[in-house]
Amino acid sequence: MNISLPWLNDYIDLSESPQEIASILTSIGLEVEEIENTRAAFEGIVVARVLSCKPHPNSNRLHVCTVDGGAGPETVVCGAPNVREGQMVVFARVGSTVPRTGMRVERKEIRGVLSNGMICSSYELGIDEDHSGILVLEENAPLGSPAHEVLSRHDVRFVIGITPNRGDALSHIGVARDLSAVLRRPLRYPVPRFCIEGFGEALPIHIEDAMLCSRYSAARIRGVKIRPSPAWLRNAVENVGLRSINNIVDTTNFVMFEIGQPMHAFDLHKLEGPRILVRAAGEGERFTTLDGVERTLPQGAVLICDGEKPVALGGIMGGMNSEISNDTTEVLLESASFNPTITRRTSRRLLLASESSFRFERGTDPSRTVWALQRAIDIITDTAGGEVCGISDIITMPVCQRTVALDPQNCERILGYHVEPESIREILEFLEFHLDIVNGVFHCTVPPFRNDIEREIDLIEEIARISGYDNIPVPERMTLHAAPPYNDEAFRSACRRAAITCGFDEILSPTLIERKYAHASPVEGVIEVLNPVNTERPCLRPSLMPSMMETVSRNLRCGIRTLRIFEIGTIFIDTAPSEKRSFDSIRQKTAIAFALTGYAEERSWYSRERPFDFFDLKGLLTTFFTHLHLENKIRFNYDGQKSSSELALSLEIDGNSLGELKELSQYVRKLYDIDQPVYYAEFDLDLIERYQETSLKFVPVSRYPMVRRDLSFIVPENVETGDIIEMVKSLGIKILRDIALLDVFRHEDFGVGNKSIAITLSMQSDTSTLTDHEINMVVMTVVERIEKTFSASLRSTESTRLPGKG
Amino acid sequence: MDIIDALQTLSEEIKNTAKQISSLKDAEEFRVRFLARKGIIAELFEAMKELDASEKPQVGKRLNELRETARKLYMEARERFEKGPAITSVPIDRTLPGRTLPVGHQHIITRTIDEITAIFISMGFSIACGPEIETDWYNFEALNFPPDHPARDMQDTFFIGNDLMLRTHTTPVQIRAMENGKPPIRIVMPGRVFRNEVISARSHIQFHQVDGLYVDEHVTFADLKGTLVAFAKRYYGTALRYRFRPSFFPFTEPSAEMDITCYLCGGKGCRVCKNTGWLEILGCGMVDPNVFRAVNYDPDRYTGYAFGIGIERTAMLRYGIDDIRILFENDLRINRQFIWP
Repeated sequence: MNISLPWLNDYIDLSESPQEIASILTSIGLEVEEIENTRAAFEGIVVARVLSCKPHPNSNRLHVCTVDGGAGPETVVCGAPNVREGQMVVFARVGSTVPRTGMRVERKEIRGVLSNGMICSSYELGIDEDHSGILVLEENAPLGSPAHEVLSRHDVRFVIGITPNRGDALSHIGVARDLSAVLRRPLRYPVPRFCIEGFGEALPIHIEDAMLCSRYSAARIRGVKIRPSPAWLRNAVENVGLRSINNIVDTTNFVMFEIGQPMHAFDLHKLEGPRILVRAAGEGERFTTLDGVERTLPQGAVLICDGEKPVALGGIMGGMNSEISNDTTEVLLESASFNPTITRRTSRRLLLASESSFRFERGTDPSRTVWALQRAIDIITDTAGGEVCGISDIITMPVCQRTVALDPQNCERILGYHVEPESIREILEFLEFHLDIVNGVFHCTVPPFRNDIEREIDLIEEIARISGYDNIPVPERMTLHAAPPYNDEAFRSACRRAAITCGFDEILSPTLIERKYAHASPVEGVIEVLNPVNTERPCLRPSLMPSMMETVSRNLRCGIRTLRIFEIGTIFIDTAPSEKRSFDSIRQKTAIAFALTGYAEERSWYSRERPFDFFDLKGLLTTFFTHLHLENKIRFNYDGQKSSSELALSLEIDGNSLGELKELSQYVRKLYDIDQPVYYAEFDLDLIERYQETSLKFVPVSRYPMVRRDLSFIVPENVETGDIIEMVKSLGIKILRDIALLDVFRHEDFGVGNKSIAITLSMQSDTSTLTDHEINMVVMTVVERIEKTFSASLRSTESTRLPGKG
Repeated sequence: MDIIDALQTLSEEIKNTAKQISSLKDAEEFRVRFLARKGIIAELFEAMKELDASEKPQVGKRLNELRETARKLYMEARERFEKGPAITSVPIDRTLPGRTLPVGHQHIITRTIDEITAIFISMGFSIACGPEIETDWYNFEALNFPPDHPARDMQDTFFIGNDLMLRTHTTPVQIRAMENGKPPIRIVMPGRVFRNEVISARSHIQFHQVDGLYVDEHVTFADLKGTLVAFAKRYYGTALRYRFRPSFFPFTEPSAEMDITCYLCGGKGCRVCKNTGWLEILGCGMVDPNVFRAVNYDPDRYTGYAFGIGIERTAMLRYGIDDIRILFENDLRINRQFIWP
């Protein structure tokens, strides 16, 4: 909201600099987002006389003028059709800034003539929209003086961000009231001259439902002359950023910015009856607002109607059909109090907000409607003539006076420091609370414009706000509590560290994804947002794959050819049909996804280029789970896919499926425009978390030497190494500490359809050095079982005895 | 044949060979050749037996000297290679790049969350998390946002069904934590939030927050200031200047925003701080009694403070990123720039 500094001075004496005032306003919660100093914007712009004006030698349209802005003649090229010798004009010197456009005025050559500045139009000066020619000043304008003085454009205004609870501060008096409380300086209300006593009814007013409108005050003024506003009124409304229209409309806006009461003026002759009916809009009702747009109104919107038709959208905008025009002679001034909730709903539904709806939504002061009328009548009769011929004031709901008790001790309980009761009293009284102090407790009658004050805590905030948050002490010490453990996030962090240690780059991608990607995943139950601003991405990701693949695709296009990436994020699946959707039907799971594409080894002096394959991902995942100490709990499940040529594997933990790793199909790659193999895995992190290792225990190590025996077998091609390892492990031989695969290879010597598999057995006892006999017994058992189970034949053995400390 | 001459030749040979030892392997060869049981010197001792007794002492003495010299040279060579850096037989190009392992990178956002939560953990806070799809009750109602209140306009919402929405802030986790626990509660709540806005360089439909909550008896606004000032000094440096100014959030009363001096211009005013000299770093306030009532806590007994920090904003200011979209586009040329030692 724009607040003009000279205007504020009408209600409170402010000698502080604009910067000081801005800092006070910010410190009490009226945050000054910008200080606009129109004086600064007019720096270097002066009143000048056109000494001569000749056609430009190289142009039919341009003129070459000599102007004197008090510092001697300057040559200027001017394109305006209305420039003439002898005129008084506004001259922007080289180095100044054009107020409207912010463009710097430079010395430049225009078609061969050097131009030293610019003669301005009123558009360029930000005065109005007229850019048909330059602004010509009156003959007696003082040569060389600053233009803003002549144009009365010397305002400082504050752009204030008003929080939604502070409807009372949406006016100059409202802002001045807060300042008066901080500065302990009196607030001056203007006193209306017009007396409402002794008038008849303006016109019949009927309010259909008290919920729509709690008060409707109106004045009928006849014999008005619609004219442009006088300079002071025009400046006032322009200084808060409004466009000056005419004396009547500007007056309603002036009063709104003065006290916060929105007003509306109807052309009385356009009202049938004349009478006013306030009613709720029916289903599908249509109405054309002042801006010329015909709108379909939401049911329940407040409609102001005359004897036969709607004439205004209550609280939001007037209608075309009753607008003030230059021929208007009799006006009806409306000063009402509309329902905040209905106003907000209608405004949101129609995407139509106005200064008026902004204030009604936040709550206006229903006790001020008549005061506002009086102020407007004073200004209108001054500027448009006319006389009041009727006043109406319908109240459907009386203003209820709220009283809130404040125990000063509770101030300290919340704020943590002692505020003097005298200071509390002063602050509240300046904010126009009426106080009764009984036994040290302040019983505060809340002024009707403060609809945000309902409870003691609200009063405490007022005290804190006006005293200044800076007065609240900053303790040097703080108490600590023994904090309970927090496992979820700690586990996610551990997973993140593990993946990064494995060389993966972390990505974070959008939760909302494109429909074509969401439905490409085999998952059912994709959830869409109902009202996305960006309609291209309406789906909540049911899997991390789409965003991972978008990342792969984008980076490949940027020339990165190797990616190892991972993401931890929430995925969403609805288990119910959308009409039965509820919080409980939606699964929100944390997932972790990995993708590999490109090269495991880049070409270098020590190695050849090697593309990633399935086993790179399998191995990295094994490493990842080892970092989490889950290597013994995670199982690769080969069932169903064993010996399959499809490169996919599912993982499980304790019999529960975690997800799978796979090489992505051509189909998926094409969808994301990726033309190299991608290996992808996605797991349910919430499930993994349940199995996280939380207790680590020391296990003593054997003092005796470890013996290794390498065995190689020739086995039929269809035997899978994993089965051999599993089988040997399942024998449960105590001294067999480890079994690992050494190599797999094929050779013509082994016969067609056979391969060689080499394994190594590590044996160790906790109680003694193993004897050859013990070792041989194990080796024999293992060889025998492998040969028998897998139709294998032993090819060779080799042994190593590693030193122990025994 | 004059054996003395032969010994002289051998002496030369030993010295020359020793000079050429350039590896442990060479040293070993030297040893085998001259000093081993079947080496040249041993053979000469053997041959000496055949000599005249008159020659023996002189030759023997000379051989012993040679053996000593050879052993000394051998020991020196060995020591040289065992104690000094390894030496190869062929000169190598040490400018060849080494064999490296891939380096993984953390995302700026998760890193920033980690840094911020770590500071609060050191001050006795725990971490709590909650769902990203929330009900109206948790996201708004229990947090004292009445239906149709303009305060809801501050948070444009993605709806996904009757009463269901993507949470617009991490504050609903406060309600869940209070429902599931009892005071004292001292938690920080990191997470992703959503606003239904047009995506631009300055705003995105998703971003991250860390909310904080401390509820107990006797918690005051002064405690809130103390904790947040301590946080800001840890995160932004002890020299910082700060201010708290009144603001409005439905779930806190009184409410405040905390600003620190713009660390880019030192408070003189620049583009980043919009010429104000201040940077807003977080919103905070005392838990509104209505929030306590929503979770059946007695507001006459308990007080509390809450705060919320915008992660993207914090990270963008810190790393000089001027477009929020960069954070979720995952151009790895950018992600890989960020390595925190």
